[in-house]
Amino acid sequence: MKSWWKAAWLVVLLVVGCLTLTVMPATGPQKLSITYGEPWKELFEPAIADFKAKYPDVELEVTMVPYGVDMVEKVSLDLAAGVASDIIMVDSFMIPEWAEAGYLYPLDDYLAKWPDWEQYYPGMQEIVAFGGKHYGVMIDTDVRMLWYWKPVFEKAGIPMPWEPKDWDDVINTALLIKEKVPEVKAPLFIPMGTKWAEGTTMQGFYMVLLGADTPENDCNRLRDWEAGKWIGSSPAIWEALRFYHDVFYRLKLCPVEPHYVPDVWGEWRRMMREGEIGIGLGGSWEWTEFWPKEELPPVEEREKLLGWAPMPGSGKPGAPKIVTISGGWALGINAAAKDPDLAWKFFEVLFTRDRMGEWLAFAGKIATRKDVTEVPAYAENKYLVDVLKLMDYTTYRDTYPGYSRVSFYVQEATADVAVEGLTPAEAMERFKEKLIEEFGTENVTTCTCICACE
Amino acid sequence: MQKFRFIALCTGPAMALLLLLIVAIGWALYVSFTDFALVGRAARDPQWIGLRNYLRLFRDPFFLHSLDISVKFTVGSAIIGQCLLGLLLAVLLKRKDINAGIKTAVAAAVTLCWVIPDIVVVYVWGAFTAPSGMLNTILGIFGLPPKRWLSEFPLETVIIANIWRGTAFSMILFSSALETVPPVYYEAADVDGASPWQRFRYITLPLITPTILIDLILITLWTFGYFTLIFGLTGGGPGRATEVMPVFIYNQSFRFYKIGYGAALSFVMMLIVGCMCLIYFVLLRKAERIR
Repeated sequence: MKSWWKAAWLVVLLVVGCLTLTVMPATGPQKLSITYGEPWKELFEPAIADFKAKYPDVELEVTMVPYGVDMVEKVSLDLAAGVASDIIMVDSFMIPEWAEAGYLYPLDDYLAKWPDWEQYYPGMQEIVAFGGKHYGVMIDTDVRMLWYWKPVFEKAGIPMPWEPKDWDDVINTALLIKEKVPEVKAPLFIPMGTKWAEGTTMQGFYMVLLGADTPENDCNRLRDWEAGKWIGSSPAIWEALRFYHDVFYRLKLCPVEPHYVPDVWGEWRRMMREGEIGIGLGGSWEWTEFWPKEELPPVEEREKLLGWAPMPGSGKPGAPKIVTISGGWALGINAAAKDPDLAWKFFEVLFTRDRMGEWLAFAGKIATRKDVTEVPAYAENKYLVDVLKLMDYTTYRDTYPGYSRVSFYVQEATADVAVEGLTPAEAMERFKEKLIEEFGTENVTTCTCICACE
Repeated sequence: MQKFRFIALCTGPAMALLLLLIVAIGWALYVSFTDFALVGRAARDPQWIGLRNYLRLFRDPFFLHSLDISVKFTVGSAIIGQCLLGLLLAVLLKRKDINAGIKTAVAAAVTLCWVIPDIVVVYVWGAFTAPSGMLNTILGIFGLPPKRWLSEFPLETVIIANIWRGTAFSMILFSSALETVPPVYYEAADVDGASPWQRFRYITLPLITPTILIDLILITLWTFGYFTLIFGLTGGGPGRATEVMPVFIYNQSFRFYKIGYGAALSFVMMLIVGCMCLIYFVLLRKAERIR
C-alpha cells in the first residue's frame, strides 16, 4: 500500500510543479517572434539587425518561410493552433477573415500617434481595415499586366512595343506566335487551377473578369457590394470562363502541366526566361523575380528581353479599356502577442521612408506610401515610375469574410473549363452551386445574363 | 510488486501516447459535429451543427469522386500491384537456379525503393516522368513519342510509382512466409510429378493465404491513407484526377480552412477502411480454419 501512496504523491507533485511553471510570469529577457517570407528577405534582415542594435535586451526569434511554401496556409494554421509569431505577414485579402477570427491586434492606438501613417495612400489604409479598425500596415502593393518575351516577338515579327487593344488582339498575337515560333510551349500563359491559389484568382481570373463586360451594376466582380451578396453567375463570369476555355482547351495556347508541378512559380519563371512563353499574365514584381537573384541581368539587358503591356478589356462596347488589380502584403501583430507595444517598436524600425524606398526600388514593388517617391532610388527606377501609371486603373479584391472560399471555387472553375473541357455555362453553373452550398441561397445573386450564355 | 513496477515502467510511455491519441481522436470527433474553421467567425465562435457535416459529405460529389479515385488507387497499386509483384519476387528469390548475386542485387534494389523518404520518391518520379525526363528519353531511343505522363495519365503514373515504392514490404513478408512451408510437401509433390504451377497453386498458396490476407490488410490501410506521394507529384490534379481521400481531406481542412468538415471526412474514411479490413478478417478466419 505504501508504494502506492508514494507514487500518487509523486504524480501530484509533478502536476503541481508543471502548473506552477506555466502560470509563473515570464521573467528574464523580453521576447519577440517574427515570421516573414523569403521574397521579403532583403527588407527584414537589415531591419532585424537595426532592431537588435537599438534594443539589445530583446530576444528575437526569427522565422523565414522559404519560397514555394504557401505562407497564408501555414500562418493560418499556426494562428488557429495558437503558435504563430508575435509579428506576422498578412496577405491583404486575409485581413477580414483573420480579423473576424480574432487573430489580429487592432493597431489604431499606435497609428494615431505615428506621423508616417498619413503618408499611406487612402486605398492602402482601407485595405487593412475591417469593422472600423485597422489591423496592419501595408508593406508593398502591386499591379498585374501582360509580360512578353521580346526575342520571341522578334522571331514572330510582331511590332514592339506591343499594345493590345482588346482580347482579340491578345489571342491573335498568341496564335501568331504559335504559328511562327513553334518552339514556344505556351504562346499565352495564364495561371490556372488550385496550385497557384490566389495567383490564379488575381493574375488570371480577375484580370479577365474586370474587363469582361460593361461595368454597369459593377457586375465585373465577384461580389455585389450593394446587395451584400456573392455573384454566382453573370455575363462577366461567363466571358472570363470562355476566355480560359479558349486559351487552354479550344486553341491550346497554354499547356496544362506547368500548373500542377510542385513549384508552379519556379516553373513559370523558368519557362519565361528560357523563351518557352510568348505572353504571360503576371504580377509587377516579376520584373525582378523572373530570374533567381544571382542571375538577375542588369536593367539595360532586361529591357531587351522583357516587355510589358497593360491588360486590355474584352473590347465589348463600354467595357474598361485597361484593367489591373492590386493586392500586397501587410505586417500585423498577433492578438495573442504578450507585448504588443514591443512588437509596435519593430514596426517603427521597419517602416521608415528611406528603408521602404530603397527596398521597394530593389524589389521592383510598388509603394504604399506617398513620401517614398522622394527617395532617389525609387524616383530613379524607370520601371517603377512607368508601372505607377497602372495604379490609376487599379482596384482591389472583393475581400469579405468567405472570400478565400469563393477564390478557391474560382480556381476550380478555371480548371473545369481548361482541363476538363466543360463549357463556360456548365462551369459557371457548378460555381454558382458551390457558392449556394457554401453561403446559402440568400447570399448569392445572379447578374442578368444578356449575352449568349449557352 | 517488483514485477508490477517493471510492467508499469515499460508500458508507461505507451499508455501516455495512447492517452494522447484518445484525446486527439476525441477532439476530432467533437469538432466533426461543429462548423469549426481555421479562419473567420467559425474560428472564434464554432457552433454545434450536429450531423450536418456528415449529411453534407454524402451529397458532396467531390467526396464520392475522391472515394472512387482512392479505391482505384488502392486496388491498382496495393492489392494488385504490390501484393502480386511482392509474391512473384518472393517466389523467384527462393529458387535455387538463379545466381545468388543477382538475387541479392534485386532484393537490395527493391528494398532501397521502400526505405527512401517519401519526398525523395516524389522528386525522383517527378523528374523521371517530366516531359523532358528520363522516361521520355528512353522512349525516344526506341522511337516512341514522348508523352506528358503526369497530365495525360496521372492516375496510372502514381499507381506505378506507388507499386515501385512499396513492393518491398510484401516481398519481405512473403519471403519469410515461404520459409515456413515445410519442404516435405514439395518433395512429395516432386515424387508425384507436379509442375511448378501446380506446386504453387496447391501447396504454396493455401499455406501462405493467411500471410497474404495480413499483407492485404496492412497495405490497404497504408495505401488508402497515403498522402505524400500524390500530394507531391500531382497535388490531386490535373483538375481532380488523382484527388484521393487524404488529399481531398487536406484541401478541405487546410486550404478551405474547414476543420469541422475535414474531421467528419476523416471519420468516414476510417469507417470505410475499417469495413474493408473487416472483410479481410472474415476471410482470414475462413482461411485459418481450412489450415
